[in-house]
Amino acid sequence: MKKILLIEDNNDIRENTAEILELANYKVFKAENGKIGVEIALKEKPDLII
Amino acid sequence: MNKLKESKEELIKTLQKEKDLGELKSRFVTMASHEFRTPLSTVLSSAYLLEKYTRTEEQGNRKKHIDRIVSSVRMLSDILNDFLSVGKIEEGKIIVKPSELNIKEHIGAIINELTNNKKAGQNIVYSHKGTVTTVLDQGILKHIIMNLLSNAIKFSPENSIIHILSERKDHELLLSIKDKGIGISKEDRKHLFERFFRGGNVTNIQGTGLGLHIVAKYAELMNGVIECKSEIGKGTQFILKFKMKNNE
Repeated sequence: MKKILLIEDNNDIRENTAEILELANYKVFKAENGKIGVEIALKEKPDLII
Repeated sequence: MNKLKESKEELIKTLQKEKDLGELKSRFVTMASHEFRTPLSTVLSSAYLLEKYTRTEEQGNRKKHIDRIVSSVRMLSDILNDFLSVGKIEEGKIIVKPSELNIKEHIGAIINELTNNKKAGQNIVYSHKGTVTTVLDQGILKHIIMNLLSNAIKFSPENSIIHILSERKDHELLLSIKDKGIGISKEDRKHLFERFFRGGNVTNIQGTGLGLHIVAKYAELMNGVIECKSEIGKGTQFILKFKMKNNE
Protein backbone atom coordinates (compact mmCIF):
# COMPACT_ATOMS: atom_id res chain seq x y z
CA MET A 1 0.00 0.00 0.00
CA LYS A 2 1.42 3.38 -1.03
CA LYS A 3 1.91 5.91 1.76
CA ILE A 4 0.75 9.53 1.56
CA LEU A 5 1.53 12.25 4.06
CA LEU A 6 -1.11 14.95 4.19
CA ILE A 7 -0.30 18.30 5.79
CA GLU A 8 -3.26 20.65 6.25
CA ASP A 9 -4.11 23.02 9.07
CA ASN A 10 -7.90 22.99 8.74
CA ASN A 11 -9.34 20.05 10.64
CA ASP A 12 -12.35 19.31 8.39
CA ILE A 13 -10.40 19.63 5.15
CA ARG A 14 -7.64 17.39 6.50
CA GLU A 15 -10.05 14.71 7.69
CA ASN A 16 -12.09 14.74 4.48
CA THR A 17 -9.07 14.66 2.17
CA ALA A 18 -7.58 11.80 4.20
CA GLU A 19 -10.86 9.89 4.00
CA ILE A 20 -11.03 10.28 0.22
CA LEU A 21 -7.45 9.04 -0.12
CA GLU A 22 -8.08 6.13 2.24
CA LEU A 23 -11.12 5.07 0.21
CA ALA A 24 -8.77 5.04 -2.79
CA ASN A 25 -6.61 2.54 -0.87
CA TYR A 26 -3.73 4.67 0.28
CA LYS A 27 -2.21 4.60 3.73
CA VAL A 28 -2.58 8.21 4.89
CA PHE A 29 -0.58 10.00 7.56
CA LYS A 30 -2.00 13.30 8.76
CA ALA A 31 -0.22 16.35 10.09
CA GLU A 32 -1.75 19.66 11.12
CA ASN A 33 1.41 21.70 10.58
CA GLY A 34 4.76 21.59 8.84
CA LYS A 35 6.68 20.77 11.99
CA ILE A 36 4.69 17.63 12.73
CA GLY A 37 4.73 16.94 8.97
CA VAL A 38 8.52 16.85 8.82
CA GLU A 39 8.66 14.53 11.83
CA ILE A 40 6.26 12.07 10.21
CA ALA A 41 7.98 12.36 6.83
CA LEU A 42 11.34 11.37 8.37
CA LYS A 43 9.80 8.49 10.29
CA GLU A 44 7.38 7.05 7.74
CA LYS A 45 9.11 7.90 4.44
CA PRO A 46 5.88 8.49 2.50
CA ASP A 47 5.68 8.05 -1.27
CA LEU A 48 3.94 11.39 -1.64
CA ILE A 49 3.50 14.50 0.48
CA ILE A 50 0.50 16.78 0.00
CA MET B 1 -18.81 82.07 -4.03
CA ASN B 2 -20.16 80.40 -0.93
CA LYS B 3 -22.14 78.00 -3.08
CA LEU B 4 -19.00 76.99 -4.92
CA LYS B 5 -17.20 76.29 -1.67
CA GLU B 6 -20.14 74.26 -0.43
CA SER B 7 -20.35 72.10 -3.48
CA LYS B 8 -16.60 71.56 -3.41
CA GLU B 9 -16.80 70.31 0.15
CA GLU B 10 -19.72 68.14 -0.77
CA LEU B 11 -17.69 66.66 -3.62
CA ILE B 12 -14.70 65.91 -1.39
CA LYS B 13 -16.98 64.16 1.09
CA THR B 14 -18.62 62.10 -1.61
CA LEU B 15 -15.26 61.14 -3.05
CA GLN B 16 -13.99 60.04 0.36
CA LYS B 17 -17.11 57.95 0.91
CA GLU B 18 -16.63 56.35 -2.48
CA LYS B 19 -12.96 55.63 -1.67
CA ASP B 20 -13.89 54.06 1.67
CA LEU B 21 -16.47 51.91 -0.01
CA GLY B 22 -13.94 50.81 -2.63
CA GLU B 23 -11.48 49.81 0.07
CA LEU B 24 -14.17 48.00 2.00
CA LYS B 25 -15.10 46.05 -1.10
CA SER B 26 -11.55 44.99 -1.86
CA ARG B 27 -10.98 43.93 1.74
CA PHE B 28 -14.21 41.97 1.61
CA VAL B 29 -13.09 40.14 -1.51
CA THR B 30 -9.77 39.21 0.14
CA MET B 31 -11.46 38.06 3.33
CA ALA B 32 -14.33 36.30 1.59
CA SER B 33 -12.16 34.37 -0.84
CA HIS B 34 -10.12 33.07 2.08
CA GLU B 35 -12.90 32.50 4.62
CA PHE B 36 -15.44 31.12 2.14
CA ARG B 37 -13.13 28.63 0.53
CA THR B 38 -12.56 26.40 3.53
CA PRO B 39 -16.22 25.77 4.42
CA LEU B 40 -17.08 25.41 0.73
CA SER B 41 -14.37 22.76 0.24
CA THR B 42 -15.67 20.97 3.31
CA VAL B 43 -19.25 20.96 1.97
CA LEU B 44 -18.06 19.67 -1.38
CA SER B 45 -15.81 16.91 -0.04
CA SER B 46 -18.31 15.85 2.64
CA ALA B 47 -21.06 15.62 0.01
CA TYR B 48 -18.74 13.52 -2.16
CA LEU B 49 -17.96 11.19 0.76
CA LEU B 50 -21.60 11.02 1.79
CA GLU B 51 -22.40 9.51 -1.58
CA LYS B 52 -19.88 6.71 -0.92
CA TYR B 53 -21.63 5.50 2.22
CA THR B 54 -24.63 3.66 0.79
CA ARG B 55 -25.13 1.08 3.53
CA THR B 56 -27.19 1.50 6.71
CA GLU B 57 -24.26 0.29 8.85
CA GLU B 58 -22.39 3.33 7.66
CA GLN B 59 -24.82 5.71 9.31
CA GLY B 60 -22.05 6.87 11.66
CA ASN B 61 -20.01 8.07 8.71
CA ARG B 62 -23.04 9.69 7.12
CA LYS B 63 -23.84 11.54 10.33
CA LYS B 64 -20.27 12.81 10.60
CA HIS B 65 -20.39 14.32 7.13
CA ILE B 66 -23.88 15.73 7.54
CA ASP B 67 -22.66 17.46 10.71
CA ARG B 68 -19.66 18.86 8.84
CA ILE B 69 -21.89 20.19 6.08
CA VAL B 70 -24.26 21.77 8.61
CA SER B 71 -21.48 23.46 10.56
CA SER B 72 -19.80 24.71 7.36
CA VAL B 73 -23.05 26.20 6.10
CA ARG B 74 -23.55 27.84 9.51
CA MET B 75 -20.07 29.30 9.27
CA LEU B 76 -20.85 30.74 5.83
CA SER B 77 -24.10 32.29 6.98
CA ASP B 78 -22.37 33.75 10.05
CA ILE B 79 -19.85 35.45 7.75
CA LEU B 80 -22.66 36.84 5.62
CA ASN B 81 -24.60 38.03 8.67
CA ASP B 82 -21.54 39.83 9.97
CA PHE B 83 -21.11 41.52 6.65
CA LEU B 84 -24.76 42.54 6.51
CA SER B 85 -24.50 43.94 10.04
CA VAL B 86 -21.50 46.05 9.05
CA GLY B 87 -23.44 47.36 6.07
CA LYS B 88 -26.41 48.26 8.24
CA ILE B 89 -24.16 50.01 10.75
CA GLU B 90 -22.50 52.06 8.00
CA GLU B 91 -25.87 53.11 6.67
CA GLY B 92 -27.07 54.04 10.15
CA LYS B 93 -29.95 51.63 9.82
CA ILE B 94 -29.63 49.97 13.21
CA ILE B 95 -32.48 51.08 15.42
CA VAL B 96 -31.98 50.64 19.14
CA LYS B 97 -35.12 49.53 20.94
CA PRO B 98 -34.42 49.55 24.66
CA SER B 99 -36.70 47.57 26.91
CA GLU B 100 -36.62 46.38 30.47
CA LEU B 101 -34.87 43.08 30.91
CA ASN B 102 -33.54 40.77 33.56
CA ILE B 103 -29.83 40.79 32.85
CA LYS B 104 -29.12 37.67 34.89
CA GLU B 105 -31.69 35.58 32.99
CA HIS B 106 -30.65 37.11 29.67
CA ILE B 107 -26.98 36.18 30.08
CA GLY B 108 -27.91 32.78 31.52
CA ALA B 109 -29.93 31.99 28.40
CA ILE B 110 -27.08 33.05 26.11
CA ILE B 111 -24.61 30.83 27.98
CA ASN B 112 -27.09 27.97 27.59
CA GLU B 113 -27.30 28.55 23.86
CA LEU B 114 -23.54 28.30 23.57
CA THR B 115 -23.31 24.93 25.35
CA ASN B 116 -22.61 23.03 22.14
CA ASN B 117 -19.99 25.50 20.94
CA LYS B 118 -17.68 24.93 23.88
CA LYS B 119 -14.50 22.91 23.49
CA ALA B 120 -13.94 19.81 25.63
CA GLY B 121 -13.66 20.73 29.30
CA GLN B 122 -14.34 24.41 28.78
CA ASN B 123 -16.55 26.00 31.38
CA ILE B 124 -18.36 29.35 31.44
CA VAL B 125 -18.70 30.71 34.96
CA TYR B 126 -21.18 33.55 35.43
CA SER B 127 -21.80 35.80 38.40
CA HIS B 128 -23.93 38.88 38.85
CA LYS B 129 -23.86 41.69 41.39
CA GLY B 130 -26.59 44.20 42.21
CA THR B 131 -30.17 44.46 40.94
CA VAL B 132 -31.04 42.43 37.88
CA THR B 133 -33.29 44.89 36.05
CA THR B 134 -31.76 46.91 33.25
CA VAL B 135 -33.01 48.82 30.22
CA LEU B 136 -31.15 47.92 27.04
CA ASP B 137 -31.89 46.60 23.56
CA GLN B 138 -32.19 42.84 24.08
CA GLY B 139 -31.19 41.80 20.57
CA ILE B 140 -28.16 44.04 20.36
CA LEU B 141 -27.01 43.08 23.85
CA LYS B 142 -27.37 39.42 22.94
CA HIS B 143 -25.28 39.90 19.82
CA ILE B 144 -22.53 41.60 21.84
CA ILE B 145 -22.40 38.92 24.54
CA MET B 146 -22.69 36.06 22.03
CA ASN B 147 -19.82 37.42 20.03
CA LEU B 148 -17.51 38.03 22.98
CA LEU B 149 -18.26 34.62 24.49
CA SER B 150 -17.79 32.86 21.13
CA ASN B 151 -14.44 34.60 20.78
CA ALA B 152 -13.46 33.52 24.28
CA ILE B 153 -14.36 29.92 23.38
CA LYS B 154 -12.61 30.10 20.02
CA PHE B 155 -9.33 31.56 21.29
CA SER B 156 -9.06 29.53 24.52
CA PRO B 157 -7.73 26.00 24.92
CA GLU B 158 -9.66 22.97 26.08
CA ASN B 159 -10.28 22.59 29.83
CA SER B 160 -10.15 26.32 30.46
CA ILE B 161 -12.56 28.52 32.38
CA ILE B 162 -14.24 31.60 30.89
CA HIS B 163 -15.48 34.10 33.43
CA ILE B 164 -18.40 36.39 32.72
CA LEU B 165 -19.51 38.98 35.21
CA SER B 166 -22.30 41.53 35.21
CA GLU B 167 -22.67 44.25 37.78
CA ARG B 168 -25.48 46.74 38.07
CA LYS B 169 -24.29 49.93 39.72
CA ASP B 170 -26.33 53.10 40.29
CA HIS B 171 -25.61 54.72 36.95
CA GLU B 172 -23.92 51.96 35.08
CA LEU B 173 -24.09 48.37 33.94
CA LEU B 174 -20.72 46.68 33.84
CA LEU B 175 -19.99 43.53 31.86
CA SER B 176 -16.75 41.61 31.88
CA ILE B 177 -15.79 38.58 29.80
CA LYS B 178 -12.45 37.07 30.64
CA ASP B 179 -10.68 34.12 29.05
CA LYS B 180 -7.38 32.29 29.37
CA GLY B 181 -6.77 32.24 25.64
CA ILE B 182 -3.96 33.19 23.28
CA GLY B 183 -4.16 36.90 24.15
CA ILE B 184 -3.81 40.04 22.01
CA SER B 185 -0.55 42.01 21.73
CA LYS B 186 -0.38 45.68 22.68
CA GLU B 187 0.20 46.65 19.05
CA ASP B 188 -2.81 44.62 17.88
CA ARG B 189 -5.05 46.04 20.59
CA LYS B 190 -4.79 49.46 18.94
CA HIS B 191 -6.51 48.16 15.81
CA LEU B 192 -8.80 45.62 17.44
CA PHE B 193 -12.08 47.32 16.59
CA GLU B 194 -11.24 48.20 13.00
CA ARG B 195 -13.06 46.48 10.17
CA PHE B 196 -11.39 43.25 9.00
CA PHE B 197 -8.57 43.52 11.52
CA ARG B 198 -7.20 40.25 12.88
CA GLY B 199 -4.46 39.74 15.42
CA GLY B 200 -1.02 38.56 14.32
CA ASN B 201 -1.26 35.42 16.45
CA VAL B 202 -4.62 34.01 15.24
CA THR B 203 -2.81 31.49 12.97
CA ASN B 204 -5.40 29.20 11.42
CA ILE B 205 -8.29 30.13 13.72
CA GLN B 206 -11.17 31.13 11.49
CA GLY B 207 -12.66 34.59 11.52
CA THR B 208 -13.57 37.58 9.40
CA GLY B 209 -12.16 40.38 11.53
CA LEU B 210 -15.64 41.91 11.67
CA GLY B 211 -16.98 40.58 14.97
CA LEU B 212 -15.31 43.03 17.34
CA HIS B 213 -15.92 45.94 15.00
CA ILE B 214 -19.65 45.15 15.16
CA VAL B 215 -19.51 44.69 18.94
CA ALA B 216 -17.84 48.09 19.44
CA LYS B 217 -20.32 49.84 17.14
CA TYR B 218 -23.27 48.16 18.85
CA ALA B 219 -21.94 49.18 22.27
CA GLU B 220 -21.57 52.75 21.03
CA LEU B 221 -25.18 52.72 19.79
CA MET B 222 -26.32 51.84 23.32
CA ASN B 223 -24.17 54.57 24.91
CA GLY B 224 -21.60 52.06 26.00
CA VAL B 225 -17.84 51.84 25.92
CA ILE B 226 -15.68 48.79 25.40
CA GLU B 227 -12.19 48.22 26.67
CA CYS B 228 -9.74 45.38 26.23
CA LYS B 229 -7.05 44.14 28.60
CA SER B 230 -4.82 41.34 27.47
CA GLU B 231 -1.51 39.61 27.69
CA ILE B 232 -0.09 37.34 25.01
CA GLY B 233 -0.38 33.69 26.04
CA LYS B 234 -2.19 34.57 29.26
CA GLY B 235 -5.66 35.64 28.22
CA THR B 236 -7.98 38.48 27.32
CA GLN B 237 -10.60 40.49 29.15
CA PHE B 238 -13.27 42.67 27.58
CA ILE B 239 -15.00 45.21 29.77
CA LEU B 240 -18.19 46.94 28.71
CA LYS B 241 -19.80 49.83 30.50
CA PHE B 242 -23.30 51.07 29.74
CA LYS B 243 -24.65 54.27 31.22
CA MET B 244 -27.89 53.71 33.10
CA LYS B 245 -30.42 56.05 34.58
CA ASN B 246 -30.85 55.52 38.27
CA ASN B 247 -34.50 54.53 38.04
CA GLU B 248 -33.99 52.09 35.19
